[in-house]
Amino acid sequence: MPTAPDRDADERRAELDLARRARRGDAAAFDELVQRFHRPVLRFCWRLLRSADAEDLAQDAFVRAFVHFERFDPERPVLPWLIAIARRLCLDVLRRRKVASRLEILAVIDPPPPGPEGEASVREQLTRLDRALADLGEGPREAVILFHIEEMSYRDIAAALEVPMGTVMTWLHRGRAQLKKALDVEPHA
Amino acid sequence: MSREPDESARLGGLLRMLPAPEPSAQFASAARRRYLAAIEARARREALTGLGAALIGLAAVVVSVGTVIEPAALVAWLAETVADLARWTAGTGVVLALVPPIVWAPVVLGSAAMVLSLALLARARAVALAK
Repeated sequence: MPTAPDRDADERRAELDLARRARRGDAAAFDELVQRFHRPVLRFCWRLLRSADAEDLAQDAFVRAFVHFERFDPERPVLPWLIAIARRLCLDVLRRRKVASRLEILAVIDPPPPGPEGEASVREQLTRLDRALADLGEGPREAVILFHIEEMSYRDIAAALEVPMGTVMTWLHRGRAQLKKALDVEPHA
Repeated sequence: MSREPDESARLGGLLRMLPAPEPSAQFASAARRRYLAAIEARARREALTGLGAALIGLAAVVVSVGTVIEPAALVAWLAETVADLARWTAGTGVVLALVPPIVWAPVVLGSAAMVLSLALLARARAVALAK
C-alpha cells in the first residue's frame, strides 16, 4: 500500500509530465493542468487585485508558465511555480495602477449572504477579517493567503514568493498578529 | 500552551470562509485559446530565429570565402576539380571494361586476406604489449 510521501512523489511526477507535455504544445495536458490548479491561482490573484482583472491574469499565468517552461526547476512542484508567475503579473498590475485607493478596492467585495441571527457575529468577523487582510502589507498578506487559505507548506510558499523560509515565517507571524488584533476589536467600538 | 494553535486554526477557518469568486464557465476555454495562440507565436518566432541565424551564417561564409579566395579563382578551381573527377571516372570505366571479371575475383580475395592478416597481427601485437 503506497504511503503519503510515495503518493506525493507520484503526484509530483505526474504534474511534471503534464507540464512537459504542455510545454511541447499538448493542449490536452494544458487543459488538465488548468483543471487542477485554476482555483488556487484565481483565488490568489483575486485576493491580491480584488478586481475582475484576476481571471485574465490567472489565465495569463497558465499560458506563461507552460509556454516558457524551460525556466522551471523540476525539483519544485508546479503550484508554487504558477503562483510565483501569477504574483509577478499581479504586482505589475498593482504597480501600473499605483495601488488604487483602499476604499475603491473594498467596494468590490461582495457583501456576505444574509443568514440567521446566530450567524451575524461570524459575518461581522468575516467583514473585519476581509478588510484587515486587504490592509496587510504585500508579503504578510501573500503568506497568510497561501498558508491559511491555500494550505501550502512553508517550503512551497517560500518557492512561490521567492524569499527564504525564515521570511515566510516572519510574514506569517506578523500577518496573523494583525488579523487577530482586527478580530479582537469590539464590533461596535 | 495550546491557545496559540487553537487561535491559528480559528483564524485559518475564518480565512477559508472569506468569499472568493468562482472561475467563470469560460475560464478553461479562454485559457486554452490563449495557450494555442502563444504556442503558435512561439513556433513562428523559433522558425524566424532559425532562418535569421542561417542567413547570417551563410552571409558570414560568403564574406569570409570572398575575402580569402578570388571569386574567379574559386570558379576556375571548381571547374578543374569537376573535370578531374570526370577523367578519373572515365578511366576507371575503361579499366573495368577491359579486364575480364574472372581476374577480379583473386584480386579481391587476396586483398581481403591481406587486410584480415594485418588486422590480426595488429591485434596480437596490442595484446602482447598489454601483457
